[in-house]
Amino acid sequence: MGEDADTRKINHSFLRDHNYVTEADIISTVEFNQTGELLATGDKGGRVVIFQREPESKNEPNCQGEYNVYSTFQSHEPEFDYLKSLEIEEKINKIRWLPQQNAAHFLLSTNDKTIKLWKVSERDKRPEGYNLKDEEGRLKDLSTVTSLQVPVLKPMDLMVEVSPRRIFANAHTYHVNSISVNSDCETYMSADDLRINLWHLAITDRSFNIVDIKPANMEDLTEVITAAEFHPYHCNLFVYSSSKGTLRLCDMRASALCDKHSKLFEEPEDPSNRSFFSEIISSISDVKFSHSGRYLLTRDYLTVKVWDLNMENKPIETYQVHDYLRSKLCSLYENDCIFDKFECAWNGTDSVIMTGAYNNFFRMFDRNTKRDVTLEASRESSKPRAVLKPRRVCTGGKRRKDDISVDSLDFTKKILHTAWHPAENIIAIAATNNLYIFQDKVNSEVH
Amino acid sequence: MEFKVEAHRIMSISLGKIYNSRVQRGGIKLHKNLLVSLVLRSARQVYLSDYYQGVCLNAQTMDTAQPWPPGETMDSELDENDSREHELPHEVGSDVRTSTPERPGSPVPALLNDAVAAPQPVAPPQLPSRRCSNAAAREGEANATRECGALGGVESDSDTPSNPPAASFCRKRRSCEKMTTPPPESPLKKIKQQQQPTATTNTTTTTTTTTAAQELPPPVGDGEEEMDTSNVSSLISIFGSSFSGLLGKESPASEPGAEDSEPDPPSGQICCEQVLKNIAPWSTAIVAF
Repeated sequence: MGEDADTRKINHSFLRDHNYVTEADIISTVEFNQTGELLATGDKGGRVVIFQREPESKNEPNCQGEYNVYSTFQSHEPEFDYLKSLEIEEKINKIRWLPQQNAAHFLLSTNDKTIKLWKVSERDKRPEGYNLKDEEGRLKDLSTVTSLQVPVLKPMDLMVEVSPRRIFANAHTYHVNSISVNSDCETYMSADDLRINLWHLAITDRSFNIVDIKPANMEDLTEVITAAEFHPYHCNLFVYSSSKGTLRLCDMRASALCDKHSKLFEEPEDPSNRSFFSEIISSISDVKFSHSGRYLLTRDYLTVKVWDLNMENKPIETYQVHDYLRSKLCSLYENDCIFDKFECAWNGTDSVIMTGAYNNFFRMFDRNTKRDVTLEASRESSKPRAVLKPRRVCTGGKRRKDDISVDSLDFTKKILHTAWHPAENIIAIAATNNLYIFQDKVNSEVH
Repeated sequence: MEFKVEAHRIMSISLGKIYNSRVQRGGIKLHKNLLVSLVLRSARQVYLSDYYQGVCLNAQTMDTAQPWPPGETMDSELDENDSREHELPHEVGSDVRTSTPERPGSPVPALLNDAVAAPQPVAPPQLPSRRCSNAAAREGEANATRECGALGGVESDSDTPSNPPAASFCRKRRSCEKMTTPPPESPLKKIKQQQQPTATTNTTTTTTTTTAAQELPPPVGDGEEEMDTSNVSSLISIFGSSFSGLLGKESPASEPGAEDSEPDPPSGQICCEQVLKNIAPWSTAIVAF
């Protein structure tokens, strides 16, 4: 069954008719927590919306739990750096959940400069029966108090409270593009264009710099860090990707400063594909460890690649996401689309990988069967419980019915952010200011 | 030739992007500007090498003085509109020297070959020129080397009405040289304020391109294309090879705007401003893109 859950449209019909999108509503990050019960989205306006999956109801066994809004809060506000006369955008670049250790949930959210730790907790009981205060909180007239009572906890409507617990600021000169929580649950790292810092979750006034690729002379700058992630269970290993298309695996046991990599993953460039834009399209926009910790998934402009940690000289698999754009790179450069940073995702068993594309299409590749599918996240094709129809982009040659031609692709509708539930076949797709949550039909029948 | 036109277009687009990045919210994005600067550099390399190859190819077929391909007609137009006195092109790259074709039976090309082989040939008055290098050359006029002086004589000999094909050949040759002479020499000087020796040492133009900019003649009626080209090359000469990092040089002896009191240079805003400050006279040109 397919579901469509959109968020914060001010006026549903108005927006659909006029295709008007408030910039602040554009979703900039999507992330499931470790159990998949919660889904957090961040937007350009600095807000975070958390969705919670409803427990499956016994009445309708075929109805999988739906995601409903759990909490909304303003995470970051626009700031102004007076020293540099720069405005700091409030756009949420990344959200990462901490592994749950008690009843409360914790997440890290970051904009370009500041990382914040938020505590999300529930309150569903409140004390009643105070001796000195009445129900509204007013002080009682002491003469009316005739007996002593013990306050008791009574159930109340669920209230979700979100409070900032830590603010990690002033550690990044350049724009923060990634955060990643270590498997030790005590530290995390934040990466900007040139540096990676290691933090302790409890300490906000200090961080260690573990990677610094800033050259002594900025004119010699040739590459920047584009993404970074800790290994899922080796707390000493992390990987970072660069704009040159390389991946570096670093071991924090080797030295305090991990400028020297332990492994360098790089595929030699195919000289036949050389163009003005070769460097841009080889820049890696996202890197993700597999759940097993053995593989790496990277996304550059036209492909997704799977790398084996044990083989550095080339990826083990390469999938073309939208190779028909290779001849259009110049126009994509002109309209800035070539700089779009697409994310990628593994499914829970590391057998399927997913990434977004243009025209609200997203692609899934089955690593075992080598089959791939293109699906569309759009209002028209996503009535509740409708099955998504595979789409096709025709590149000349025979054109089938319902094919889209390359020239009619809408490049303003791009799916940059996607997330896959850690265990089940549930995916969250952010299409501009809409969030789509799809569940696998096959899975629902099994249940 | 298509590569050249394409390269030119990509260069202007890239420069426009860099200019616009100044006013983007959230500050300059280092990653995007780095990529744009890489594209700009590749396009410029293609542009220059393509132009040079085009001229060499055409030089080989100059017997009939046939009309130049569209890429070169730009220079012909400049040719007619030129009203400069003398001009000193920048240092000729070594690759220029190696590929002068021989034309049998004509003493002039032989002389020209020698002329070309030596750095800093002096152009006769009718020579076409890129505006920037021309203006720059005017500035550097006083710094003519002895080779220029010697060549001056050679060139004037060659530039006789009786030898129109050879003259136009030499015109094109020199325009080619001017194009291929790495303009980076001047922007390097400009940005580094000539505090450091440049990689190539045999350049003599000591002008700064800001003064060159101020002395730009008003746009000629002919050709938007012409103006665009010269402005692009001027902008390229400003950015030059030191553009690869986008951010300006932060040498201790550099311009006042470059200092920052932080131990860590800022995210690029101040440095970029320093570069952009230098191209302030070009703001009109950039807007034209």
